[in-house]
Amino acid sequence: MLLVSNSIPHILQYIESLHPAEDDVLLLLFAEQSTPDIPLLIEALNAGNISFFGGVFPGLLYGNQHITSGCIIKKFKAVMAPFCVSGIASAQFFNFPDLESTDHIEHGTAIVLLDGLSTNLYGFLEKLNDLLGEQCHFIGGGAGSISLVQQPCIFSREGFKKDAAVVCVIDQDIRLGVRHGWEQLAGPLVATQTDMNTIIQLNWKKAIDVYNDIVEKDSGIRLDKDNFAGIAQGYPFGILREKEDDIVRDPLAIGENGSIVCIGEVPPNTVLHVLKGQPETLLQAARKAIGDCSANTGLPIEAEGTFIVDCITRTLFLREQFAEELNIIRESLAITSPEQEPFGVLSLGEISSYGEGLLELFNKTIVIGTFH
Amino acid sequence: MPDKIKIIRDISMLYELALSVGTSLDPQENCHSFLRTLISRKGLNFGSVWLRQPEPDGKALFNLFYIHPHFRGLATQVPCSHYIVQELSSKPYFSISSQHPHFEDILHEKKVGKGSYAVFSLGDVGFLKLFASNRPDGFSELEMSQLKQVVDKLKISLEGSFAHIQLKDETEHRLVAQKALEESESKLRRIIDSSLDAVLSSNEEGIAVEWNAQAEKMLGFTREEVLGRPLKELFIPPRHWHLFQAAIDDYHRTTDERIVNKRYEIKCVRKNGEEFLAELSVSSDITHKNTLFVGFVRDITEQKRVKRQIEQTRNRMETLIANLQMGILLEDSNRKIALVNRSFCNIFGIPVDPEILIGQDCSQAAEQSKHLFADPVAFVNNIDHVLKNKVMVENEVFKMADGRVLERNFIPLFSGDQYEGHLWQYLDITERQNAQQAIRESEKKYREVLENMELGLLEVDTEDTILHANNAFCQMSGYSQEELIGYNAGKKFLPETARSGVQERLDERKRGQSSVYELQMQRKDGTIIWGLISGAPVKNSQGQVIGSLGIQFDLTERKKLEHELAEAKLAADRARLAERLFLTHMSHEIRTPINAVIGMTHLLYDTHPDATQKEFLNSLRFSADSLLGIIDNILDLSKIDAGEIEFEHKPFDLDYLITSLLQTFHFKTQEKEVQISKFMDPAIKNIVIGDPTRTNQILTNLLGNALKFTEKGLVSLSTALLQQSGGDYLIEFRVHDTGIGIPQDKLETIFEYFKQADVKINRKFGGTGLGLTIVKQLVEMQGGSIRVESQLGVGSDFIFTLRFGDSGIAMSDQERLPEMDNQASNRFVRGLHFLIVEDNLVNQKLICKTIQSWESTYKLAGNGLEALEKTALEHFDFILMDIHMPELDGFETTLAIRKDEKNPNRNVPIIALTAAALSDDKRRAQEVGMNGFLTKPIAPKVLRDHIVRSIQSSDPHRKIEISNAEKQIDMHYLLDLSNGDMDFVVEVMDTFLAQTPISLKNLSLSVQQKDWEQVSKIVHKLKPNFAVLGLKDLHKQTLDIESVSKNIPFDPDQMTRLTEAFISDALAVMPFLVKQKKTASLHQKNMSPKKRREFPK
Repeated sequence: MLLVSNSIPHILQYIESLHPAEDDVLLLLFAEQSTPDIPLLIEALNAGNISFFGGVFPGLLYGNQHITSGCIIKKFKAVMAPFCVSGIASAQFFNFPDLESTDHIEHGTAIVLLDGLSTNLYGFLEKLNDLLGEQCHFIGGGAGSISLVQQPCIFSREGFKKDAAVVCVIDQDIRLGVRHGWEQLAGPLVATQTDMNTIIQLNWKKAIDVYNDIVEKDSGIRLDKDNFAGIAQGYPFGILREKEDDIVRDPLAIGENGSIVCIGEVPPNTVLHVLKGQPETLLQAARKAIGDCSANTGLPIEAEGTFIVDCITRTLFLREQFAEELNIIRESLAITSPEQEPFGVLSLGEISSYGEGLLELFNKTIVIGTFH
Repeated sequence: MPDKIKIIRDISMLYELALSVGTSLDPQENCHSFLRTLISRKGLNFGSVWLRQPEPDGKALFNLFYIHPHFRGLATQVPCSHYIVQELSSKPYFSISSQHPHFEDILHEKKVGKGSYAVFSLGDVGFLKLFASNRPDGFSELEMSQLKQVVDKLKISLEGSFAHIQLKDETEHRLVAQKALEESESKLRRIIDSSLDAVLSSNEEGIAVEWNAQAEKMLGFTREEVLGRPLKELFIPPRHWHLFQAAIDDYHRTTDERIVNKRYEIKCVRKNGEEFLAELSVSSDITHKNTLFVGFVRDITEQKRVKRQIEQTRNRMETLIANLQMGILLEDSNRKIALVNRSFCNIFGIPVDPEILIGQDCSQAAEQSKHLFADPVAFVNNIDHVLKNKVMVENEVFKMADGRVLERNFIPLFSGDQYEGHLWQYLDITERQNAQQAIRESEKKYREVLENMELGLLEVDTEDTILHANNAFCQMSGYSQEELIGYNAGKKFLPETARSGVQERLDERKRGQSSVYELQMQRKDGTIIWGLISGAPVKNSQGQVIGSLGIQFDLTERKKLEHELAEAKLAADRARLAERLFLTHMSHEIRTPINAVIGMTHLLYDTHPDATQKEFLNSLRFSADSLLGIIDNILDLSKIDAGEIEFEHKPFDLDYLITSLLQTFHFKTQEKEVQISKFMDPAIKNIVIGDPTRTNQILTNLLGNALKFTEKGLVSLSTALLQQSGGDYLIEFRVHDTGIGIPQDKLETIFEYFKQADVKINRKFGGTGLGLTIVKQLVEMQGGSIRVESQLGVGSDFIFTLRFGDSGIAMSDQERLPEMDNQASNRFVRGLHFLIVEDNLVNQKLICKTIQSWESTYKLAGNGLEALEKTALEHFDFILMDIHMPELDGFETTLAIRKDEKNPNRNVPIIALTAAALSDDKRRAQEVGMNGFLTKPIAPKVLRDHIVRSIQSSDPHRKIEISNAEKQIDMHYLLDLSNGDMDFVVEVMDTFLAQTPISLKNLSLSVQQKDWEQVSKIVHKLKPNFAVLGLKDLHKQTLDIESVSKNIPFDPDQMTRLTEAFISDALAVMPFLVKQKKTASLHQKNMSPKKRREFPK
């Protein structure tokens, strides 16, 4: 449910009206433009012994609207209470507090919210997949600020944190659609030297030189530090996968010595393509993604709820047409009650177990999950 | 997709996969890295590596080694008969889909739906198994053959990894075995090394083969030094070598075991040649390693030394006993003397050496020596009794026939249950007994003294139980000794309330401290008495506190007296307070009506009265003024009596004060033929520091008197600088008149209360006779002196001196408060908005009239509560506050306004108006946050000047440039801009007034921090605002600052100077803008839109 106000008393009042039971958990989503005093909220919810988790994102989605204020609150039955993992960037090993207690989980959906500006996310997700991958589907995304300045954005009963992730397994089956609509423009290129989310060399040359040649050839514009962010968002990298869409990596800025800093990790020796998108292909991807949720039957989807994790860069790229993306999704749903209205976040990185595959972190992608 | 592109893509991917192999020597990590990349890039679901484990029967098992991603609850072992193993025995790889009949055979994982497996042989290592749900018809042959190339790399890499592990394991095993061996050897060596004996061994030839750490320590040779040398040379003195050699030879010849396993006490020698006594034990071979003898050498020097020492001690003890003062007799169980000392012989007069007595029988000794005792029979009986009982008896005292006193101890000696004899100790305690007797007698005497003195004496133990009380104490307390001794002192005498205090005293005694204190005690009859108690701890001979002794003095009478005195003082204080309250009320009650009279008189003057009426008015005013003067005098005296006069120390211009004062007297002399003149000593050049009000009061009184008693002639005031030293002026003032003079016999009393020179004079000239008394007091309280010189019919001179501080500022240099003419001052208070808080209707009317005459506005509040309501609703420029009001008085009202953060008048100046004028009120007014204090009746001019001063003092900069600042404001530009829209004008000014002070504050802060960039930024932002309001000078200042900020080189000093001048000038103009805005607001309300264009000037 979307709460127009983000005043803490209103939030608490609303939560009280939900009469959360002991095994209920609340998902709280805020937009960075209007965040309440989260530590205070945490204190209040802890005092009420209410199980909750949430994040602060570059934007919220509700119905077919992109919104920047208020609060989305959803109540679920929890199979496993939310647990928080801090210090992801520097962690060598991930010690999950409830590792032993996952044996009882037969099925469910793991909602994963993490600090989208943290590094070492790949390592975290791999361990998470080992922990829950057999029993659960995953959906979630990267929280944080569009300013790309890392700040606290993930919260649970343990506090309001940055460089952290929170995971909660809910008692819902989910059908996932994951698409992006970006198409290969040039490649393959081998990322011959990388460091976490920085590509240092492509084909044994300075990454920026190789990338620049490709982008300039297509757009006629030579990239520099000033125009990089604007132009490069139209030319992301794709990690090559057979029989599946490429995994998009979003170039963010020019780093030291002609390297390219991306959102999301690029392992060494990865085979990449430079991708290009058109508004039409992106919208087409949204159509396919929601289609995947209905197994492409074309019938209106009768879901109990729909969770959308849509990359913030898609709104920047699609501009006015972004509303159409949301319309495409909403129109595919059979909505008879407010609970069925789609809700979601604009994210810094999208998380899903792609089809039956592994848990992955995507960029510039739309992840749709319909609950059944 | 064109084939070429696909090929390039395939090759690129194989390249990536190939590079993901062999990233670690650890086989687990190796598998992880490869499978992670393979599964992600190939879109697979999972992959696993199985290892071949050979079995003893020659067959093998295959165990799951690694699976990615993690799975639970799946089969982890297959035998060599398994379908996979069978298939791989004939081909390097195969793929089967879920439709294949053997699919179920190789399905080990849970929840695997449709799809295909791909299985690759890893040779002797095992096999690799992959699953993809997106390949329903199996992996293609092309894909399998491509993957085979990468899988082969994995196989080689894993072989390498396992070989590495095996090598690592073997190395580790070897290291472990080696370590165990080393440890075993080192353990044996540790045992030998830790032995307290030197362990040495030799081989058959007598050559040293072992030499432990203790041997190194004891004999001085290191192990390295000795090994290989003949053992005998290392610890046997050369003179005994032949014996050592003989023993060895003997052993060789006979293999006689007798020489081993024996202890020898021999002389050994250290490396440094020092010989020592040692015990040597020899045993034969213990390690079966070419060793024949093992010797254990123990240094027994210390053992010998201890033995010697014990003997010495025994000797010393015997000597000691022999020479003890105490007589000692030790008998064995047969009553034979075992030990006796010299003292014993001396005590009993036995004329032989004690040694001779040893062995003598004592069974008859009592009988033989009984004559020495005062009671021989008793002594003998006692000995028999003691010996029979065999129990220790201590401190028995016997009187001897010759008068000596002996103390005896009997100590029976047992060894276990066996009776071994007994010990008698006799001590001559005659002297000690005598000394104790002397002490007892002295104590008795002392007690008798105490008993007979008037001081009470009470002795208690540590539990506060009474041990002793003297007669005086019994009398004091009303109890007899029997009623006291054995009772608890606290419970007996102390009222409940006093007990805790006494506990402290008892604790002090327990700590061994003395103290003197006063205490209330309850007598037997219940009456309470006061005692002064000197308490001291009583200690036993060990210094432990065993109680305390208190000497009590009856203070009751003295206490009674003190109490009466205190009561009397309280009564006097109350009376004084009552008197002061009376004076305050009287002052208030009289001042209020006079205030009205004077005020109305002022108003009547404005009604154009004719000559007669004016004359009436003059006398009315004169009478009221006189009455007020009397009250002032009474109040002043009251203050002086109460010691409440406080003198100010502030700089003032004495010349100016005198000139102004004489000016006021000019008016009064107009009807007389009296000249008034002044003479100012030119040596007084500087502003003085002192109390201008009181100086003025003294001079007013003296000049008033002079004029009163002078009908004709001259009244003059002259000053003379008597002394100028150390920053001080001592100034003599002389008030001279040619009046009626004072008779010589009255000169002495003229400064006393209510004294005038002649009672008749009172009738003629009036006055209370208090003036001179006050003058004298005021002069003397400031450290000066006053005298009078007078001749009857000729005139009088009142001469007084006062000491002032020298400010060092020349009088002409001082910036005097701007002396504004009435018109200027009135302009200054024009357009202000007042709140008048006053409960007296006449006074209300008076103040309202006054404010109206200034063209200012006001609101009325009849009491404090009403004032709070009004101040909450709107902002005032000034609040005039009566102090004495019913319900909420002026102080409380002010406090409420100052405390209320929401009150818009929280910081507005509040001026107290009061008819009572005690300094209590003035102080209170300051405390509650009032800004001024005026005494009623209030002359309009006084009120106006006070307000003007208040505005100026709130802004020091304004004093300098008052008129300039006002002139600066030019509203034309803003009016043109607004096209006459007054709403807009007011809004602009509001914004300016709200924001500019904050900006100026920030500016000042930035200047302090030398943040010139910020300074330029703020000035730049402020610049247009000043232009809009027509503040041309200030606008120009901003331009100057901007220009200086761009100068190269930049001059921070100039920048600071200019900016600070600008801040100060800008602040100075603020109050005028407030005023302008108020006027504008008024016009905004009152004017029709058309007329609004005309802005009032």
